[in-house]
Amino acid sequence: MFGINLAFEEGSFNSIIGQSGSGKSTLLNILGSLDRPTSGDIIINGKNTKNMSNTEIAVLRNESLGFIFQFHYLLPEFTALENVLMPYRISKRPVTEETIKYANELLDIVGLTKVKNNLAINMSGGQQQRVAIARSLMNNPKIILADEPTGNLDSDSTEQVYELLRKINRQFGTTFIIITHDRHIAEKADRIIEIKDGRINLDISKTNA
Amino acid sequence: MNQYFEKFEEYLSQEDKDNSVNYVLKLLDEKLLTLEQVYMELLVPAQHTFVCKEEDKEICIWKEHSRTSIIRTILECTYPKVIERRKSINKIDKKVVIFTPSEEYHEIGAIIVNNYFQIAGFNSQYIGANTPKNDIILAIKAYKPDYVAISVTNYYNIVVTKLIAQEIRKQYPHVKIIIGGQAFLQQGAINQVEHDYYMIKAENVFDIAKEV
Amino acid sequence: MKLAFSIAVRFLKSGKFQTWFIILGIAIGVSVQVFIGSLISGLQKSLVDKTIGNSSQITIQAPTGEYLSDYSDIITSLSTNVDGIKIYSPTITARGTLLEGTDTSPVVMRGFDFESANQIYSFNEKITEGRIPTAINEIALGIGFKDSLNIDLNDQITFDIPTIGATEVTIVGFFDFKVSAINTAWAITGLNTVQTSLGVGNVVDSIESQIEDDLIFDAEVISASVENQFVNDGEGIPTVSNWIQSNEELLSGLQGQSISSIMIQVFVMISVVLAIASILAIIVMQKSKQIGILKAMGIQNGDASLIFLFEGLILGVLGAVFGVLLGLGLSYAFTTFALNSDGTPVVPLFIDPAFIALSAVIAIVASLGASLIPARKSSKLSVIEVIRNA
Ligand code: B12
Repeated sequence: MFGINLAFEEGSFNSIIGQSGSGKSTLLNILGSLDRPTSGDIIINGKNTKNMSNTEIAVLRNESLGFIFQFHYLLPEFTALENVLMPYRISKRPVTEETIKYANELLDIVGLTKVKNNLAINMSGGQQQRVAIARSLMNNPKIILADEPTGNLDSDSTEQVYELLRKINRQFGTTFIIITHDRHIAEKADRIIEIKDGRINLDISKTNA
Repeated sequence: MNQYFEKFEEYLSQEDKDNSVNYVLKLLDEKLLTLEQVYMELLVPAQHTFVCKEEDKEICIWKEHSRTSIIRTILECTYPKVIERRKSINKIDKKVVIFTPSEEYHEIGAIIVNNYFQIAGFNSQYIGANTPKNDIILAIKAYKPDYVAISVTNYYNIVVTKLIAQEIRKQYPHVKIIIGGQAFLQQGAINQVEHDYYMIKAENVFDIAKEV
Repeated sequence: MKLAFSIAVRFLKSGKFQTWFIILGIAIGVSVQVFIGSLISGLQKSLVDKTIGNSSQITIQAPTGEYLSDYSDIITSLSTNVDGIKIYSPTITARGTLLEGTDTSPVVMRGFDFESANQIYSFNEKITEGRIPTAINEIALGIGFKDSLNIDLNDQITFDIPTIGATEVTIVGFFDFKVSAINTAWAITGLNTVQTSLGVGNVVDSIESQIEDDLIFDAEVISASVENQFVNDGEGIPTVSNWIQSNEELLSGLQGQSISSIMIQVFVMISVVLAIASILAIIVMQKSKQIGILKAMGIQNGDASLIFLFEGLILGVLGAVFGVLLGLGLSYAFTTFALNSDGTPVVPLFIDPAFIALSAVIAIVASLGASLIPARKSSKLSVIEVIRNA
């Protein structure tokens, strides 16, 4: 990746497109502090991640960032509800009635009320993806980074997941940065960024001028 | 707003195809409206102002389709008037190829712009909506146009339009590229695509005509 | 902490088969440890017991030709000044011949204070016929004499001490020490029988003693401190001897056994540690995706490592518990089913709770130690690698 200079507006819904190998996942991982850039700075909430310790980065990930991956990456040993609660438990705050209620609400929002006590491995792909979405919201992050969140879903689930993300975007004002090769999602985003050969090839925002 | 629009809109909202078509053709025949007025003051507004009523929510997409179909029919029916108009104007010996890029299904704009090119005296050819990049290149090879006009409505299609423009520039550097359509109203969109002319309205083609 | 623990438990539960397999591995290691340890210390104990259990372990012997007349004073002062000796018993011995009709047989006539001597020699258990002598001139004979003298219970025979004289004694019992040297040579009787036969007063020629069980191998030190109690006033002092001096071969044998026992235990432990370490390493590999996910959610490296330390701890504790149970079970089975024809176990086991606790602790510490490597590995794991390799 070279010469990339991007700023994302708070509360915006952004999509990143590009062919596989174009570097879009790397970009997202760097944005999400999962990977460190060889040079350059990532500034999240006004703080430069370059100068952060491992612990500070862990805290940042836990409190300000939510990740949704293509392969949903749930903890298979835990139930849907437990997976959703996990970011909260990682934050070491005591789990209260209220937290559990909130986790349940999130599961309701993603439409998984009935299967919330199922083990993650016993759920369908679409369900798992929705658990992952609920999980990413648990700590009310400012930013949600999603890498092909609908990558292995059928078109019905894709639509549902998209609607869900949009709803959350509007309801909580969460900033979304989504990698997708699904044009149905990309064309509905407020901003489309195309990455090609590690550079920004295209960057258009939907602001009806 | 055009004085006849209200009546036209009424027929359309009833999905009364026959009356819609007849009404517009009558206006043209009686020379109450010019061809341009029909396009710009009846057809375009009819499409742009289409709003879905709350009670029609479920069949909304069909209403939209059905209206588009009526508009299309009218558009096709006005073509004899285009031919007529061409008799009275000076022909420009320049060829234009018009299309919408792949995955772009919105074609009413492209068809109207094609008619404008005709009226302006160009030798223009609409080669279709949703045209794959390779076919566009082949069409340019076959027609040897002086201009290509690309109509893009959905802003996502800027991505592919950018590639198409690049390819045309590479293979046919002398061909002038004209871009237009709602997609370019989005921030930063125009700069993404290589072009010689960007035009907001269909009547802007007359400016090109003047240039030549 | 709590989170890491509950994740560890969940990880272990999710791979039940694997988890029980590891626990079984550790348990087998621990049980072998417990069993072999108990076996070897049992063997040693019984060997030592057989050799010195029914004999004097530290003996105070009057200078040749002399007697100890103040023996009860000596015993009282030793009891207060020397630690580690559980019983003192004065004895006096006369050598002579037993005569029954035409049959004669040399005999060592040992006079005991039965009350204390019983605690050393367990005469009660060794009497096969009759009883222990109680009155003067009553004796019990080794069963070897039965054949050589053709005698029976309650027979009267003559005990002759050359140059001193003969005494008539009554046979009130026979004993069997399972050692023919004693069975064919010893006669036991009260102190007074020997004293009168010899024509001496209330004196003894030696004081025998036994050391407290767990100090058996400190015999030399105790013996030295006994020796220190006697001040040489120019008339010669008693000699003090101990069992270690007279059993050097046995001792080096025992030492060899101890070393080999330690070796076996060390190797068992090493294999347990290696097994746990490699299995935990595999678990980290299997769970690296989960660790990556947890890290993406912001788990701290320390907590991620703790998960594996807890896994090690849980495996170690469960392995140790089952291992100890299995080891005890094995030992029990061994002592119950592997029997001699007389019903005693082939090898008596010695079950030492301290040793078992130590084995369990070692297993737990080893498991924890083994989980250190995977724990470190997991803290180094980078999310990005995990995601890329998924
Ligand atoms: C009819 C319609 C359809 C029809 C199209 C049928 C057809 N054969 O064309 C169908 C049902 C297929 C359709 C589908 C979709 N549509 Co639609 N559609 C419309 C609608 C209602 C009218 C479009 C139209 O015909 N306009 C009339 C023409 C004449 O106007 P025009 O294209 O803007 O052209 C004028 C100028 O722009 C200019 N011009 C145009 N091209 C060029 C070229 C040059 C060279 C020049 C000089 C000038 C020029 O000249 C024309 C005259 O002034 C619009 C609503 C709207 N506000 O426009 C939505 C609209 C365009 N669709 C929209 C969307 C999102 C879709 C869908 C993605 C999903 C959906 N919601 O249905 C799909 C996409 C399909 C695809 N892959 O392309 C959005 C686009 C938003 C965006 N950011 O891109 C709109 C704006 C509706 C909305 N507000 O959400 N649609």
